[in-house]
Amino acid sequence: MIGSKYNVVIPVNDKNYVFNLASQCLIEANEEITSYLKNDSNNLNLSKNELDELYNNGIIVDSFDHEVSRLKSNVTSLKFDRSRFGVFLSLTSGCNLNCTYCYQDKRKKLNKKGYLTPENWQIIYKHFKQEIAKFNVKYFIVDLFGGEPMLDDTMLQKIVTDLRNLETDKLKVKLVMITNGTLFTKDNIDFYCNNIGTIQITLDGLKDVNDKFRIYSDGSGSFDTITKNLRLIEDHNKGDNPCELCLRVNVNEDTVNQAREFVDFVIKDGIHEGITTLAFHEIFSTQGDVICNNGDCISNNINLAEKIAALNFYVISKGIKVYKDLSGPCIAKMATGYAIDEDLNVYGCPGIIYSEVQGKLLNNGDIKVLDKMWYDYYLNDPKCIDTCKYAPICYGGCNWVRGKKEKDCKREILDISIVPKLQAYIMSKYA
Amino acid sequence: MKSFKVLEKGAIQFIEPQFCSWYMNCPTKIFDPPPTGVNS
Repeated sequence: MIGSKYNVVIPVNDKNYVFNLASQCLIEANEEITSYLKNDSNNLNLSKNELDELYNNGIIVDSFDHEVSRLKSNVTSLKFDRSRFGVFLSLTSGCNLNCTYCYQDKRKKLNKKGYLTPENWQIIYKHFKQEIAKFNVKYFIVDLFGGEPMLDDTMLQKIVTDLRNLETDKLKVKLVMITNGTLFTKDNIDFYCNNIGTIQITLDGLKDVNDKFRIYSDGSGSFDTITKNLRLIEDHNKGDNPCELCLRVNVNEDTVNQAREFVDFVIKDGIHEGITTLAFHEIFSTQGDVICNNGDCISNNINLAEKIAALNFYVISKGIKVYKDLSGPCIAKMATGYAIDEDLNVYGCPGIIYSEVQGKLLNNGDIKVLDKMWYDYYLNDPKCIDTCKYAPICYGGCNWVRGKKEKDCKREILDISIVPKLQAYIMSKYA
Repeated sequence: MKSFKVLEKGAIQFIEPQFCSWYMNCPTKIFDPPPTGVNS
């Protein structure tokens, strides 16, 4: 027996914890076990029951080769597990904001800003029902996306209602919406919060920061509207049926230094009472950057990653919980996850939406695959999976970005961010 | 304390995929967190 190479040892105050990236097991361990798992010692004097418990939780394994093969077998099984089905559904390429960075910036090149029509929705709905029946789907998740998915409120409410009606004792339906948060009203807030399990809203900092990035087409800022709507959700979440609200804050080298003031504002204003997670992210390269620069723009900003990781400690010091957020590989690596737009174009990955069409949804509800990349996204795995300790959560990184140029390795970022992230999580929950 | 304490059970045949975890860091999970306390 040896310690799993997917273990991460986490010192917190005077205690040691071990988290396994593959099994997601978390233990508190004494010095003897910690030393053994760090390969500092060969002594592990445990009872058979204790060894079995560590083995069954993936903390100790037969051999590195064994656990790598097991990981690959598990992920391969998952790739083709049709009982789980996930779709990114883009309702429109249009958006009422004109952010200075937009990850979906290829949509801006489109001449039209069409909306999902009732006719096309019926075809998509037929597709969903066919897939659910054909593969006996048990978990179905739809991520409502765009553009801005709330631009057509009437259509969105119809779609949400239809999707909710799919749920049965045998089929769990989860809805997620990624929205800029500007279009909630007193009239629609309860409907969306009651029927959509998770809502992600992005606010990039205090007013003077946010309104430099997240602007309307006339150049005016969105801060006041978004914070007003966050308060609407906060009010809703005081009731019996709260939704999960993820507040996302995108930062760069300049704005990360003002993030603590933003956390203070969120607490002072009471907005945090309606929030499930508050997560800071680096402002990534956009679709256009990746395509135009052939992947060269993808670089690891270690300094920024360290600052973002450190922010977690400030967040928990203010009483807001943080989460591990270290789940497994991207759904784009699964045969059972893809994106559909309002024109019935189909994509193996939401990162390429409105740019690289890989298939078409036909009127009969079937998908016609037009590009072999559709298959390559889930069939081709890079060799780094065989050796990297981060393989369980990364599994070769983003297939789309890597396909442009095989430089997309985030190992350096993970080296400096995983331990602080887990420290903050443990301090938040256990210490 | 004994040698170790399991705070959150693992599952060696469980890997939880997520939507677009790398590029956009979307919070979406393909299915709910397992009953082992992950993200709870």
